[in-house]
Amino acid sequence: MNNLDGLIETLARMPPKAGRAGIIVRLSLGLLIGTAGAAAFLLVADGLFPTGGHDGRSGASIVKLVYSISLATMAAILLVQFASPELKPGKRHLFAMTPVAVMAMIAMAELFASPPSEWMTLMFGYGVSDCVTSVLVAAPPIFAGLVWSYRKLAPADVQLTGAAIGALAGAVSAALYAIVSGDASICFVFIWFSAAVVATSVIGGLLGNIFLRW
Amino acid sequence: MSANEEQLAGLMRRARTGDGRAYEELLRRLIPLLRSYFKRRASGHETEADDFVQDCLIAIHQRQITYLADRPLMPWVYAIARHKLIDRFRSRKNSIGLKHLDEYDAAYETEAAINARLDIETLLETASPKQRAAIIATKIHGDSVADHAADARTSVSDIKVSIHRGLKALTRFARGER
Repeated sequence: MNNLDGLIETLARMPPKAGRAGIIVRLSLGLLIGTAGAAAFLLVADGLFPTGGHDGRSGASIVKLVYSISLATMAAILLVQFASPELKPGKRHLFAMTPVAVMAMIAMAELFASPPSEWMTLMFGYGVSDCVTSVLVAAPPIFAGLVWSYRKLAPADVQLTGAAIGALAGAVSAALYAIVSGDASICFVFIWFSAAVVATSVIGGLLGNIFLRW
Repeated sequence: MSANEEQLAGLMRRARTGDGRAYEELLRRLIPLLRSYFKRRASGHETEADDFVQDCLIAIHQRQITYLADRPLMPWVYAIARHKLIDRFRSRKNSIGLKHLDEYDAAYETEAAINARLDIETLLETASPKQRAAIIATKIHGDSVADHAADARTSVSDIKVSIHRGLKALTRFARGER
């Protein structure tokens, strides 16, 4: 008996069982475990270091949450697609940038509707370091959960998949931060939430080369 | 052993119901396909073919949830093989020209190309060995009739007759005639 015969006999004792939902179930599980870890961390951290300020703008917190969840949804769609070895990422995946484009337009409208003397406050006045630091610090558990999910998946491009995992981790982390933090301008949310998610994507892309190789 | 897409996908579907024998048969049928895939792309490294096949079978087993049952199986298998091949030679890419390998692979590996090749293989099984060899050499590899006649140590007219009869047999089979 050669090596291949032995291998096939071993593998044949464990025929596959997963069906169509396998990818989604696995990704959901990894996301859930990672998010639970990140939420626990943020709750503890928020008790120690209260995050964000409050300016009483109605609706801004909802925008924060909706923007984060939109980014997370797009990244999740990409991750389901990137799980297959057959899929080669292409320009069509730029659809994931839709929430960014929409939010950019709303933020510009807010900016130009305000007097120039308020622009700096709109862009920087709601705790930049709290926001970016919280998102970056809460993202790793989610990233780890998603990397675990991908241990049974087969991405064709590990770097891009790492970036998408980073984006999802950053966006979910931003959504959690949006819950525990105070209100902020739409302009602030667009600039700093986007910047934080871009940062987690870049880090994810770099780590993808290490952790997603198969 | 030659296998077509439909048979292999059927074996995978049965394997997913817990049928270990179907799974074993599927994996065994994949061995020659994966070996051939490797040898076509990594000439000069033939001794590594079995290691490569082993890597692919393990990856297919571990990552089988990424195969969607309503899609053809072989493009998925070859996508895994492609990844394992690139990964295997990543550190040696300068010595074997990975970029060239990528381009070759991209042109070869489309789903339509794989299905077409499997269809051709199935069709060619209906021709006699002599006719099959003549058709592959002249119509697929692009050799001249005279060159193939010299290789086969026969006359040019004999090769022409073999090609003509072989193509007629393939046409009849493709039309569902016997």
